[in-house]
Amino acid sequence: MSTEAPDADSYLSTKRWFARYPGLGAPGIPVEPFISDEHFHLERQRLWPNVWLMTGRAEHIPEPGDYFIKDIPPLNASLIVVRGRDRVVRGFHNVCPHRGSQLCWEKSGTRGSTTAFKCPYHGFTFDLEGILRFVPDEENFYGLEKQRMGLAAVATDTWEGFIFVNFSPKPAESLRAYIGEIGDGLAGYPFHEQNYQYSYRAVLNCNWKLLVSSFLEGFHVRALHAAGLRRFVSKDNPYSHLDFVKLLGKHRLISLYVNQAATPTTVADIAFSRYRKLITPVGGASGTAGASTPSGASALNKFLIRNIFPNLQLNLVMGGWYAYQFWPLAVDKVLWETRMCFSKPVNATQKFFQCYARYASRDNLMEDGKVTEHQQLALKSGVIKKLVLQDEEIAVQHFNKVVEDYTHPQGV
Amino acid sequence: MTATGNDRRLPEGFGDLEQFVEVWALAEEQQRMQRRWSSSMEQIQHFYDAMAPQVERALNFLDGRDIEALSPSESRLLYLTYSLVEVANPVEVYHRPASSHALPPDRFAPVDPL
Repeated sequence: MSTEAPDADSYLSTKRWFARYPGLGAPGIPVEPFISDEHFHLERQRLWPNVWLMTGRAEHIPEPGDYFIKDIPPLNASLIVVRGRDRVVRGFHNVCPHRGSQLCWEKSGTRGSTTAFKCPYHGFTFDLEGILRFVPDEENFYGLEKQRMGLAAVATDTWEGFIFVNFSPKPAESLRAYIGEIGDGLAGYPFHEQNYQYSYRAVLNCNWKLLVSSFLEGFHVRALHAAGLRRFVSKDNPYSHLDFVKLLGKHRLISLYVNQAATPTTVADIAFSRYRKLITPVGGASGTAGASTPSGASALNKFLIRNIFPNLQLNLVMGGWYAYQFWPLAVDKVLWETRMCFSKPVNATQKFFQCYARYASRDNLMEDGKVTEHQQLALKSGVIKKLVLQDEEIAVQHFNKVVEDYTHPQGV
Repeated sequence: MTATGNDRRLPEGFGDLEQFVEVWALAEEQQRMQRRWSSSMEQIQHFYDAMAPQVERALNFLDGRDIEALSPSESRLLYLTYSLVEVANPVEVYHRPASSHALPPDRFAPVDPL
């Protein structure tokens, strides 16, 4: 063996990953799932009802009676997620079983508090546990079985404060089993303390899977984000070969290198150095900004992207965390929700830092969004039948294959 | 609509920045994004060149105030620091008001918490 050959694991090597995952087959995935109405329909039937979907945070509804509305576009559903008098969080379809009005008309994401849910149409009233408590003009109904006319529930559970729902009448797995190993590195992370949320909303003209895929490789950084991010790409790793890839059942974890030697730009330098002075460990402080990842990896030279199937990406950043969610609206339309969360800023330096972190990220996300719209336009032509993937794009292949596990089980 | 004297006031010692208040002391992120996208590089550079050397002094001053109870002039100063962040990428990395291949600001909108 040549002493000059790079270690097989090193980012200086090539063709490291596909050999480790022979079950994925040869690199390359078909185009059809991104442009086909039929495939979209299959996803609606076979994928979306059978997965756990993140809807919000437990601290958004801290007290009994607190609720939020969450639309689930691929299932044409609107949910009420509510904390009951017993403090248990439950999810219900936002549908009155009388004549099908929505009970709550606020838009998705709206938070409220109530003692009961009263339908605006005729006044049917349900308690916080979804039980029908009052039927107006009850004696005029024929054979009404009130106990069977509660709000339709969806399985609801919480992991690390994230509230998930599952539309299957009998979810195949508990939430914790579904999350599995990808949750291990996050146990105990102070998400609930870093709950000051900035949100962005985008509706893009592309298939949701294209957008998810754009975050599953570093290969595009050099070209697409040439202006904004190339300085973070080191000379000896020009195509951002990954630190590692972990394919964990339905989920994926990729680790990107961030060039430590990059010269910070002026405003970045001001934002970061002022912020670092604030977070010099003193021990026992309010537990706010600057928590490193529980795994101990430095937040400064590696960047972990956690992709939780089907449509949640969770990244820890300096002093906070970002979550992206992707909701299909049509085969070529996606609602992209971005949350950037930090501890509540208590002074101008923290506000300035959070502003910098968000705006710098946001500029790159706006580039990711635009290219996927151009991809969709091109793929719609049908001129290419297959997406050619290189070794470092393995997570793209894995994600799309997991979708196929649902839409075409056992190759059906 | 031109700002009156009071509407442009910044805290004592930051008078040199008052010329930028009307255009750049914007309270909302979406406003700042739109301003950046619709400004010329000359306008952006002019603001950046004046604000960047002052921002640490501004933040030092504001750190000494109650961030939950800023006066109108202090708030305006804080918004100027946010606008500096907004124009940082145009000046420092893109060398144009926005990336040539990014979604425009109305397509990636700051919203109330999801």
